[in-house]
Amino acid sequence: MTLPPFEYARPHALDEAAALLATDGARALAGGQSLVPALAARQPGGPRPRLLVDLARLPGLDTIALDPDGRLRIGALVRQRAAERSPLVARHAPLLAQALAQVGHPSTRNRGTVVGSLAHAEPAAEVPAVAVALGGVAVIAGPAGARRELPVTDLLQGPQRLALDPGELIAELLLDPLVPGERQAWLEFAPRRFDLPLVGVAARVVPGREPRLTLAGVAPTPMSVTQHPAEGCDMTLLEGLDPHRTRIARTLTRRALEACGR
Amino acid sequence: MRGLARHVADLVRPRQLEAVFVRSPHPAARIGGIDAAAALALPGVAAVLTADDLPHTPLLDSVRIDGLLKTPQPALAGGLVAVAAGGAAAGGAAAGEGLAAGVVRFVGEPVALVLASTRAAAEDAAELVAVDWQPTPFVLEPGAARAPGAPLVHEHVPGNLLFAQAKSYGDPDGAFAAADLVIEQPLIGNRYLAAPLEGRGCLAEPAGDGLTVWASTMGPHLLRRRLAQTTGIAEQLLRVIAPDVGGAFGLKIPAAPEEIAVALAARAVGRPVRWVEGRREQLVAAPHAKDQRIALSLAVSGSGELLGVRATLTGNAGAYSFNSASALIEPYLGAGLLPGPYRIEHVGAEIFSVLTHTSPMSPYRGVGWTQPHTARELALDRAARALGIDPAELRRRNLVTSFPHRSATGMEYDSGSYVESLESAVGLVDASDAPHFAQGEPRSAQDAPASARDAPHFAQAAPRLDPPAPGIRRGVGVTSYVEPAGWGSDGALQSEWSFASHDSVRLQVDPTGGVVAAIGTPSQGQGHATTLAQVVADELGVRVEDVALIADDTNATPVSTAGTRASRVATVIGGALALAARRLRARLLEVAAAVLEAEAAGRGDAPAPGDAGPRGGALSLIDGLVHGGARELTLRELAEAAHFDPALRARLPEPDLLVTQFHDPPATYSNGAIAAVVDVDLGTGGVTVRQLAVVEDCGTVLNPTVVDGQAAGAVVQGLGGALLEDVDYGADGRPRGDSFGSYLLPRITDVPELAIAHHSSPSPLTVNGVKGMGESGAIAAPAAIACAVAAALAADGFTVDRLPLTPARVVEGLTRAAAPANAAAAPASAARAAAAPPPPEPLQ
Repeated sequence: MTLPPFEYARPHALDEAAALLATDGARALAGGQSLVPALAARQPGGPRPRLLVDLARLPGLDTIALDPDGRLRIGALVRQRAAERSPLVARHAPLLAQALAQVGHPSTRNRGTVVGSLAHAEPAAEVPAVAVALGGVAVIAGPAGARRELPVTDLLQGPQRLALDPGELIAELLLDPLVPGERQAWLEFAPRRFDLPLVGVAARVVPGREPRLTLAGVAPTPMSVTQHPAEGCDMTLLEGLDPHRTRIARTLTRRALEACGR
Repeated sequence: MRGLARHVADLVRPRQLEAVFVRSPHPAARIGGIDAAAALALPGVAAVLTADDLPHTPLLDSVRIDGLLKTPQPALAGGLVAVAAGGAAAGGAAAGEGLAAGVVRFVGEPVALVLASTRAAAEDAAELVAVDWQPTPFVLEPGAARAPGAPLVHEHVPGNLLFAQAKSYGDPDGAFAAADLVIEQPLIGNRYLAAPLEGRGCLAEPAGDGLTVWASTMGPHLLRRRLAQTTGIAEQLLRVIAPDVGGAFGLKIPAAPEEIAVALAARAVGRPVRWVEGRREQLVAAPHAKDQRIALSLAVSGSGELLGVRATLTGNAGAYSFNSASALIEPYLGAGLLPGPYRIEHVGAEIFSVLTHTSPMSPYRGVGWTQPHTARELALDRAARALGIDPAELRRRNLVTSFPHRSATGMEYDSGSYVESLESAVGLVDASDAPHFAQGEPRSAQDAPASARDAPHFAQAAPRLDPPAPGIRRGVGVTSYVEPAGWGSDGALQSEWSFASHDSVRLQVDPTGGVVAAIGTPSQGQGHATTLAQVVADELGVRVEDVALIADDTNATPVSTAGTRASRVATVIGGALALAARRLRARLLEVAAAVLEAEAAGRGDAPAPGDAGPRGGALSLIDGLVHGGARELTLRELAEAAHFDPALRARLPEPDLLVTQFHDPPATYSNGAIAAVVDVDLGTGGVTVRQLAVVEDCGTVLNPTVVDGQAAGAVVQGLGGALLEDVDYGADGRPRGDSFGSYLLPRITDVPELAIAHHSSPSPLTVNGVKGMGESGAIAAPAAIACAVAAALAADGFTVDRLPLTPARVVEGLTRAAAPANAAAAPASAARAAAAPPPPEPLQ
């Protein structure tokens, strides 16, 4: 299929991008690995933007850096493949590198962005769950130079739903760094390898603290759960979930904790 | 891989228009009207055509089997359809009293055709075509479709029942009465499909009073015939060309309604019109395959003798009995192969073909045979477990061992290595950690029969697998198969199918000594240009590079009414070419003798002594050189003499280097075995195929690389059918497997390294002992994998009654088996599964 008609803009400044995104029917385009195929599918209920605002030329958003306060700062244009192979990510957020290695394929990761995957807000996807697990905070740019920070748990409202106002876009993602002695693991299960998982789990284990478990694919947004000695995680939180996902969640949390040495 | 292939999507003709179909989003609807004004207003749009604009004769199932009802299929739905007396509908655009409003019968049925200067413009316009859909009740499952009061897919087919027949061979009642053990095996076979790299497509261009049509087809002559029947254009004015075709697997045998519509559209607008099918379009709207509901019973003696098999085979025909393929391809062909490779003397079959509001059926590799084979093999494994016999041993006791063997259903197995292939397959996998199998003794290559050891690839012994981790169950499945291979008309008859499967070929030496073989069966990736050129080169005595194959153009090739299907090319076409080459060789040697005679006479020599017998009898043709005469002659010299030397005509009045050959070989049957080792993760339901061994015997091998490629491709498609692929109609009547994100094909990472081995039991009946091949793994890999999963989980009480074995189904089955209250109700739960809504969709 070909793409349906739309207008296209490629602004060179955040302000300009925000102004364009504030107009009716505007939508941001970063790596395009989810949006472009969805456009080409021309399916009823699929995206039909009037205007695509290509973020590619926005300056300064393609870097990964360590903040003075120790947080990892990932710009909106950082490709998944770049983050996956970044020494900073490997040292301070190995969970993200592990999870990104299972996002799509190298060819899609070469174009797809970390923040784009977060903004796509797919309930079972890797990046939103990892962002929640790592205490993620979105730096949001708005019209006229406005800036605000929003925890990812507040940003994610549901499948493909974000707490963004018209004219706002995620400029950066801030992640908590690994603490001394911490071990992290990402495990996921898909009916076919390398597909969007049915269920994924992020585990963070710090000696002397309760393990932190975050599940993807069990709720409209990533869900933090507590460890249960027998079940892997506290199953009461998953009541009502279909038994298959429950079983996978139990299995993966157990295995993730094992992988972290628990 | 040079990137030089040219597919329909690569073709450009002057003033070409791009075609996009407007398709039904509803499984059943009346069409109140179609308004194309907004679409026509878009720049670049040349026309929007509906059924009323394209009068034609509808497509009809051409299979002649008593009792099969016909369902005329329009090229575009939605036109007014005249219903003639007796219920048979005649399509067309005539208006007047007694006409029913047009209807659609499945999601994806085309109702209009948009023609525009670019694909994008055509797609934009297609979205603006306003159709007044009036949805009507629909039915998706054959069981529901036969129930009283079910919506009728075609008014003239009561109960949606296209076909019903009971068959009995031997004394099945007696066999079941005498059985010590009866295994009941239900199986809901999945609806899956050929998903070739290249979808369907065609380009039609007006040419004088006729048309030239480039089509992604397996049968250009077949398509030409259908075009003549439906468009009214005389067949000799139609030219069909199959350019490079990127895979087909059966899908591209039936003439597509879309191909008819595009041809009619090109005539209507007087310009070339091209349609290139999109992937979503292919998955939703192209014909699907398989989809049988099976209830199979196996009668077994206490010593493990298979006494009889009975099966009810219900085919989900979809909305039309597809032309040139027929809705019967699945259940009817499946019934004929119920005994499989075993000595089962008593067979009963009930065959039903039922219309539903789903896409019609086309053939797909292993057509008809796959799912009944799977049901039989699952039953056989359960019998083995019940009797405490190793599953391979149970098969060994029942496999056909002497030839010719006439099966209960009338198939004459001509030769084979049924037991040897089974042994080889078992030897290629590591069964040491699998329960119920070979008592933990992996076989080594040394245990295999000599014929297998000598076969190429067999040197590899089974690689050892690590023991399964906690929470992982390992299982092994092994299955023997027989493959009706290389249907001539005789083979078709043995499957009780009306199918003229003879062919003619033309072989000619050009004036410069090049050899051209013209056949009517193009390749879609099977390597014909290699294998058939080899056959000609070997038989003729020329170099393989001097043989060119022409197969793509009805104007340049002999008529092939059957086309490239049913594994028939090696025996029918290959046989014809071999026979033609033998005759042409004799002719060339005659010419050589005449040339040498002339030269000898010119020198005043006496005739050569060898010329007392048939002319040229003392001469031989090897690698394009004639030996045995006063001097060596090249093929080029012979060809020049035959074409241009007037003196030669004095000695040989008709030095004709053109041979045509008709051929219709006797039935022949390939065989083999497939073994699979799987790991099932109890914690996720995930199934990983750890080892997959294919052992095949197609008689004389024409080209080992091509045979290996066929074996590998078929087994991977079988793996997809066992574990992943499912069209999966939702309750709304729309297929959920409508993209490669939801219709899951196996990727290379889902397939273990394959072990492929060969036996060779040449057919005593065919030219050079060749048998057809290529469907093996598509027939038997689902059984091997399903048996392996069932074996892995047998101790957990899990049984396989539905494919594919998705993780959700595995977990659901384990949960069901673990619930004691439900343990006794397994058959009933299978019936429920048929009617129950499909599993919930992933969270979005």
